[in-house]
Amino acid sequence: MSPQGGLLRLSGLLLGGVAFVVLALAWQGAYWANVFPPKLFPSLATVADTLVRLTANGTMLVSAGATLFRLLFGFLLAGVVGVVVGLLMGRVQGIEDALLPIVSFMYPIPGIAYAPLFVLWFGLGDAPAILLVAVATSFTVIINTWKGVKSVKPIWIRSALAMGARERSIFVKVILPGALPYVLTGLRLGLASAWRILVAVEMLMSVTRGLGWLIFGSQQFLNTDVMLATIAVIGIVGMLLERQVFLRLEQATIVRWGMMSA
Amino acid sequence: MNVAQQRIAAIEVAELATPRRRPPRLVALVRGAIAIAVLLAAWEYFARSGIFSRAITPPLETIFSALVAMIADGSIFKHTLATMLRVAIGLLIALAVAIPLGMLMGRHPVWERILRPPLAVLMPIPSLAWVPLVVLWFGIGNVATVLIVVYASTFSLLYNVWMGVKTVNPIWVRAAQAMNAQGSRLFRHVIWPAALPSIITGIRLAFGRAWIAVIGGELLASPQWGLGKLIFDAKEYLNADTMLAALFVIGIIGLFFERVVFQLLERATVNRWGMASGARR
Amino acid sequence: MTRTMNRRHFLGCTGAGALAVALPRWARAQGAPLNFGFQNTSWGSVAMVAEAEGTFAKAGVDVKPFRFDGGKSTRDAMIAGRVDIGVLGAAPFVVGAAKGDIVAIAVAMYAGKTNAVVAAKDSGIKSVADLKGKRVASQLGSSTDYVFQNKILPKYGLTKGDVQIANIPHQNEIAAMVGKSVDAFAGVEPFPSVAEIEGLGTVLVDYGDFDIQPVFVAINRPVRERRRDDVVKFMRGWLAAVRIVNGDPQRAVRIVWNEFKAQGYDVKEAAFTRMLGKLEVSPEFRPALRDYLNEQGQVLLKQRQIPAVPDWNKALDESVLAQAGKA
Repeated sequence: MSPQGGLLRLSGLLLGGVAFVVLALAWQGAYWANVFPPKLFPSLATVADTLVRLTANGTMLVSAGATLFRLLFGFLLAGVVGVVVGLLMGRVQGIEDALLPIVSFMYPIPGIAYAPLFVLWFGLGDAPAILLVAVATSFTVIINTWKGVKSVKPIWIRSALAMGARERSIFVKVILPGALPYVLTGLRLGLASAWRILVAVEMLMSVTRGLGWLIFGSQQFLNTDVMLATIAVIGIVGMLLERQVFLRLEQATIVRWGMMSA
Repeated sequence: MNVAQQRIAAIEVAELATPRRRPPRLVALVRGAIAIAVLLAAWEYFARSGIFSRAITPPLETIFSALVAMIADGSIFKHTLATMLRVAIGLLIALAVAIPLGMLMGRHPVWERILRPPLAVLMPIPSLAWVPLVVLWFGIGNVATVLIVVYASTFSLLYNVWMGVKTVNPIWVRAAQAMNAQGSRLFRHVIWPAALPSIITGIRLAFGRAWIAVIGGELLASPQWGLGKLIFDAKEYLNADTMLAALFVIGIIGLFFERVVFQLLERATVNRWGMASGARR
Repeated sequence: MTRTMNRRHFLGCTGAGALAVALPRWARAQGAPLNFGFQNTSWGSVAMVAEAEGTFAKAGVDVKPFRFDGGKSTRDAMIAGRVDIGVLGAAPFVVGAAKGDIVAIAVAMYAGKTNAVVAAKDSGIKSVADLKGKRVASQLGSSTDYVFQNKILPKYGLTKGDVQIANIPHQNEIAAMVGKSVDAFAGVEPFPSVAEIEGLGTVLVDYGDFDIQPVFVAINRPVRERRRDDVVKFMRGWLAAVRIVNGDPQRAVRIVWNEFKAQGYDVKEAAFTRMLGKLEVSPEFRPALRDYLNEQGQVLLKQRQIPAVPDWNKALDESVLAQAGKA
């Protein structure tokens, strides 16, 4: 690597770290100045310590595992239902006319607004939490899939027809790949949305284990260090989900097929 | 005609018969209305069937009368106003923070390098995860809720502003500079309009996030008034009719903002300036 | 062709979905354990003793215990069909009986003395009257909250509008007070005692002078119909626990104290002896109960929280107790 290249990389790393250093200093400053009582505002060292302790005794892993488990099922359900409904809406005009008002109405309603209702209907625990996440996320997937199908250029369909393709082939070979960028966007947004809702839902639905529950339960004993450690974990997992899952999926499909530049 | 040509002709006829183009608006409206009617009828049947107790799956007239009662005693307006105020204040603060920062990041790579990592780290954290902590720090009520709204809306807005400014077509910038436009003129006449579609998308997204944050915040931070609080308290007395009425109101407001406010905004700025072709649904 | 295929597929999925939702309520037939919910406060003491001593198993019935933050959540779980029998305070019971199919089969305890209004130590609040204009944490919809808002506040000349009620579960009330979110809380043991012992708050008044505060053992009516024998056995197990609490109080205290210690509350055993002494555990329905419940029903009716006062002939059932007692 050329000296200029090396210097550039170094400066890049340094700049990237500036914000964190500033934040860390501000945090510690607030801690020492006793802006809040120490029980409510732990030092960075305490938080780091708690994070290590909770990871070591397995609490963090169990909680993260439980949350991810719910995320997986809720998201899968939302994905399947969402893509199916979206495809139907996109291909069959009658279904689009019928469902669009309902979907547009329910799309902007925050999923967690349904939480108390779900508690009344289904009780507390895993199944209602998964169901709630699924319901709340499915609208994003539906809308994006629908848009994707609508965005398939008519000329592609006509070319396929001209080459003698039948309805089924058109669907599988033209519509599905054509809509795929939008579908993936919808799933990506849906996953991020599901993750956000899930943490809130865990707080409201008294699940027995989970990252959201960990935060909520720490309120009782004012364990702010546990709260902050958990928030850090939530951020990390969220970031990993975004990067690893979707980026790779995108690379493998639509980038390879030349529909989107990396 | 050979077989292939016959087949194509048949398909074309079939396609004409079942148009994939948009049918006349009346048909669409009727279908939509039928679907809604079916849904409501199914609910009514479900509610009266006794599978769940009447209290928690109330029939439509109960929900309606709950809504009417809340309109009559004015409580629904107080709740709605409280929620909307929180969203408004939160969004304003988010705009004040995100637009300048986003512009900075978009135009100056140094700032981009500095601000990008914290953005990447903080953005995936759900705003609602912060609520118990924020409540402990700032107490229950308005301050905590508004802070959560600010957190939720700032990041998505910042991202969109940044991207919008960053992806302004450099040719436009250079052309303007060739015509001797500098500084604030460059900004006003080239960068700002060019970034506007992204910014509006950002505001739209931020509004959605703010809406989620405010309802969730109200559920967890116990303010005195608010639609989220209304739903939460109704649960304590099994008042599912109130809950559903409140959900309906939330839906109406969301629809209003999406269809009316944002589309108007788009039409008045972006579409008029020719940046996006055609109105979106 | 694609159209019809997709439509059938769609209908099939909806059908399966509807079944999945309905299943939990019907699936638990005979042979499945009885789901029993109780609160994670002093009011759950008898249940905790029953669980620790295995009295249900000894009575021949399989009971699965669930802890909730209060009677309200227990009642919600009962309405949703997830819990069959629950320990409920009066207010959640009345709402559940009015809006659902809940029947009381015994009195769990009379718990007036275990409720107290606690003010933050350095808040300068000396009596309930000083709460005017202040924020108070109270678990909305619970019987603790009901008595606070409808009996205690009026006695000190305050109306509901004079006090800002924050809907916070019992377990978080102390934290809310410490975090200065609220100036006081209306709570249930062990939390008032914990607040006093840790020097975080002072008890302004306890409910003993205001209310008998009956707590009920309640059941979903369909469960009582379908599984009468199991329910009677459950009652026998419950009565065995009652005998322990009344006859061998130290053993009961030890069990409850350990329970809360395991949750992280670091309080001396003597405090729990005192706390349990405040409970009046006797399962029979007293005659005064009907009037008490009627009065509460009327208040809730006026507040438009319930559509009608429940029929107490149907909502109070002494037969199970009678049958169990004959063993």
